[in-house]
Amino acid sequence: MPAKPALEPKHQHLASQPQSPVRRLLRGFAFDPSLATKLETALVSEITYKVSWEPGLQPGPVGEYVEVVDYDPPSQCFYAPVNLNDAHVLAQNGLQPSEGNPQFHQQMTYAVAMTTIDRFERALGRKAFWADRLEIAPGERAESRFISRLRIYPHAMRMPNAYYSRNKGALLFGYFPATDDRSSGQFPGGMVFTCLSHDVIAHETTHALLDGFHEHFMEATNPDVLAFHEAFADIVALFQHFTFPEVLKHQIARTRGDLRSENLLAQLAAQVGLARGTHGALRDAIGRFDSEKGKWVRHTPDATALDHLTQVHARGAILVAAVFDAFLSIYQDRSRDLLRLASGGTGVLAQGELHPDLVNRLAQEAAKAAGHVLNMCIRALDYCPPVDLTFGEYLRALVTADMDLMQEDEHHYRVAFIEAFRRRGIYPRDVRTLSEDSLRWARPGEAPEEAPGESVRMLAHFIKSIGLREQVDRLRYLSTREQIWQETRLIRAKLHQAIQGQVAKAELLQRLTGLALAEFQAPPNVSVRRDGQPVFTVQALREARRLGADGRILNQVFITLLQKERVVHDGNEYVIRSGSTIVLDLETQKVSYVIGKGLNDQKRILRTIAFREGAESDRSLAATYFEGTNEPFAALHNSGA
Amino acid sequence: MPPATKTAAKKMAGTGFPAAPVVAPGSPAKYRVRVRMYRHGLGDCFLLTFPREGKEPLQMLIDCGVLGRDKSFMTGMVEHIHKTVAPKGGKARLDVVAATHEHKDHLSGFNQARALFNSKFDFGAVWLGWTENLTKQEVQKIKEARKKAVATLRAVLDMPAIGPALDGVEDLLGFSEDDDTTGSGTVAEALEYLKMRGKEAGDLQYLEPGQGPLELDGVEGVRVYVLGPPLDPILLKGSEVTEKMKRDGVIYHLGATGDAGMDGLAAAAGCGVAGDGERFFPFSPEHRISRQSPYLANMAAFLGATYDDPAQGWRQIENDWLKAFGQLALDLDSDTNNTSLVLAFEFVKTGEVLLFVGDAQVGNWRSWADVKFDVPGRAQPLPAHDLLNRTVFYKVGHHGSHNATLKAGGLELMNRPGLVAFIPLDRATAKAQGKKDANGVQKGWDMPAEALYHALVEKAGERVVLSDVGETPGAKAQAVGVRATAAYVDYFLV
Repeated sequence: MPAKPALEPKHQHLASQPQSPVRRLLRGFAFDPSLATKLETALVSEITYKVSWEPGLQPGPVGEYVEVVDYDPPSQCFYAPVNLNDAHVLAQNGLQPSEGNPQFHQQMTYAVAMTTIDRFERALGRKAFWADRLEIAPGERAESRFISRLRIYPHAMRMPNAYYSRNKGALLFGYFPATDDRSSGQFPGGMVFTCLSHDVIAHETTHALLDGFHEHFMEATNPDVLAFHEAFADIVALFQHFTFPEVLKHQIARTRGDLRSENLLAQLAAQVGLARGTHGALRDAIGRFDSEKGKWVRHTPDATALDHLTQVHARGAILVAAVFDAFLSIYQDRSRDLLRLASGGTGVLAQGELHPDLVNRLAQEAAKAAGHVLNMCIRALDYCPPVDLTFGEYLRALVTADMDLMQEDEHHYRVAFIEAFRRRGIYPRDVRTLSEDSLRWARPGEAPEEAPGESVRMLAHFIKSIGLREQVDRLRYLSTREQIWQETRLIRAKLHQAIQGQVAKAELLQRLTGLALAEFQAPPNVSVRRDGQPVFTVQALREARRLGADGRILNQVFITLLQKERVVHDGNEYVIRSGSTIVLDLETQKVSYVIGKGLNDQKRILRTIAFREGAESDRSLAATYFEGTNEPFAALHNSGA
Repeated sequence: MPPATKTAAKKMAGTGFPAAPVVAPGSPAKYRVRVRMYRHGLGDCFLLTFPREGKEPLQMLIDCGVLGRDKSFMTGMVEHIHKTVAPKGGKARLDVVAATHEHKDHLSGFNQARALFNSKFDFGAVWLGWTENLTKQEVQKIKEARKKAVATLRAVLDMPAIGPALDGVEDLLGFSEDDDTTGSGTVAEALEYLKMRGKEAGDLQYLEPGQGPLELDGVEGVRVYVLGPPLDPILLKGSEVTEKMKRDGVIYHLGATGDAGMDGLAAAAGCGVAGDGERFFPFSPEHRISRQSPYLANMAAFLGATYDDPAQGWRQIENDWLKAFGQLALDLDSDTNNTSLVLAFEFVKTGEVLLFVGDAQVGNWRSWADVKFDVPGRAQPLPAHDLLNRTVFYKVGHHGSHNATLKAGGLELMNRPGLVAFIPLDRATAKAQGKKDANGVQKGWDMPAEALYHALVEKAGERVVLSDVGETPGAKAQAVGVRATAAYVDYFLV
């Protein structure tokens, strides 16, 4: 008998292996299912999401970053996990959009969440991480654990609500019957799924990303902190609209290139908003439906609005409007020449529809500007203080991050931002003017009593002695997020040791950061270990290598230090968190910025205390009866998604 | 009859209402008004006495209710009221009886001591908020929605698989639920009784904010102003009502859950209308794979690595959806609180004002900014905020919870020196409520809320008085006319 050919070939024939794809194409709703039932928008209601190809994607989908687990507790059932690697599914770019098919819902949440994560990683130039899980075994010290995958529950509850839960490392999406009010234009009682809304998914995913980035941005220490969380999530969801070319062109054609008029791109969660019984999208960056006038009206910027608005969403909406306004100015600036070309030099377009070529070019400019604006917004996170962020400080972070990367502000992006923020009364404290230069975070200076050059020398020596370059280099060649996470933890521990071990440098850092770092120098309110060392943590270490406009590579490390302090005020004890983000340039081995909220800032501490006391009276009724809630976003999103 | 609830178990130990003289030792002989706050537990009961020239004083009762007290205790208290009003025996005349809103802790006494009210009291007039006027269609709708919410919550709480997971909701329902274990009957019944007595007396009034100042019969120089419950969503007609309601963040509307939403939740809890559950499932039956389904095996590996992985048990979401019921209970409570009748008594000559807010919450307080009164002899209408400005006595809303006293546009306006604040609150009762901690001990309701209490003390210093029996009013409170016995605390405006 002839020998059987081996079933498993011993050697792979490389030349005939197909290349692994870069993208996985998945069909989905552009915004939400409501567009499909309107003639005007039906054509653009579906788009194809281009999601990065994950080699080991399992049914669920369960990938590297997210796992979709479709359990529906109110209905007491599971829905079978979709297998996106099924040949039939692959061959038709994913399942066809359908409200009645749970597997499509899973695909949609996966596609949008991955798109959002991808956007985030591309802007930052490094991997994204979810918030660590703090595990406290009885009798032991709390231990942080790496969380690889954010869990997504597409049908978690019967409520018009969706939220990010840090406690469960999960996104929970609800579904609900639409309002019975026929005037909303919705099918009364029809089922509405929050997990089919691009905006809701992107918004919640961004909450999770931001929480993994700055874990103390969920602590309300001033009226802006939580508002920023909401605003940032909205900003990411909004600007992702501009990455849908079909919709973008459709809307540019419809508005004749004027994105300041009512358009879908500036609206968030239209279906959810209508189904809950409001007359329009849940939020709109440029206008709102005025029920007295019975029509949509544009917002007028009010420089005093922030003084009296305390509700988190209302405050956040102002930041969103400011960023969107900056984008509109940039888009206008970038498209002015096109309009002149298309109008014989007048810049005033003739009546009627726009030429498709012009629509294409305008859409390109809008997409480009939106991409840049979103990148700026995400990168600014690296330059934020780790606690107690205000809108004004976010503006400073935006300006500084952009100035580091793009020294020439060719298209006046920064001016557009500063103007838009100024018109809404968003100012940083303690800057002398609103010019770019004053807004940029201050570079660390010398103390008058030091010898000239002393601090620069000491800092450079410090960076060298801890071998920061070598450490960060190692990070860059690690392949999995878990390895990076582990390695970062080791570096953080080494840094902590190095700071405490070198008293002279600790003293210098102490001066720069306003934290208590050196032995026997902690103020009485800061806990001190038995050996006299004040307690502080090296909370995070992040690296970034970015290419500037002039071809220069920016090679940076961001280190955040945190410290707690117990302050007694009027007989009540408060725990105040202080912290600093130190920006280091690895090329020159210099400290570029120290962005801090120091212990020594008495005014800030008093403001925080006053805010906490005041916030009491604005808490929800749940605080009285249920002793608060451990799901901050659940309550917040219930009142305004 | 609804089944016995654990609220019953929380009844105070069987002590009777404390004995006390009808006139507190050290009371002034002459005064313009005496405000008596009974110390009967977590609930409101206020007796206002206005002396009249050549006549018996005018007696006004504002609320008479409590949580967790029994019939005999409350009868004891009402007997004390009787002795106070009619010291020589015979029938006691309550010239005005006002009920602020439909909650047990404000009305239960009218059921528990019904026999006494029937046999030994005459009513002169009954005042209720316009939101109790069932001849209005909008009011009926509101009440029906509320009734449905209560019934849904009750049904869900009684589901053995779910009820125990609904930590804290049971107690919250205690405000509005019909509960027979304390002899308090239904809250609606207490209201009906008051309406009946009002009709019998020929003077039943449903009051609206901004209504011209009312006079108290024979009491010179005192005007009564109605500040709430707010009117605005109902002023508009037809479909505009819903639009305006939506735009304004919905004061009289049960939260975001909606009618169909409520049915869907009930169906999920297994206690919806029979045969109605199917339409609230998000997908058709063939998609649903229950734990018992033969198809579950197909996804065993997936579940083993995710939802059923014991190491990831902390990520399960079995009970998270039940938060919807907690929200519903909160909406129910705050909606009813917001229908509180709010009264301000003005002493015209001196400008001093006594303010009784019931349990009005933020929405109610905010609406006063636009309330104005046409006062005889005044060229300009009198803004309600002007009354707040001149307040010398404030009955703190909702037992001192944080969102029943507005800071800006509320407490901050009360700038009279010598301001007195009375908080009807029994801390022991408030503590025995709410969610349970890891040891099964209830964490208590946040009453009084610390921040609010601080703010009150900042304004009124030692003149903040709790009805709690353990509390003795300080010297400064005594100096401005506060006297206390074991059964009540009096405030005298001399």
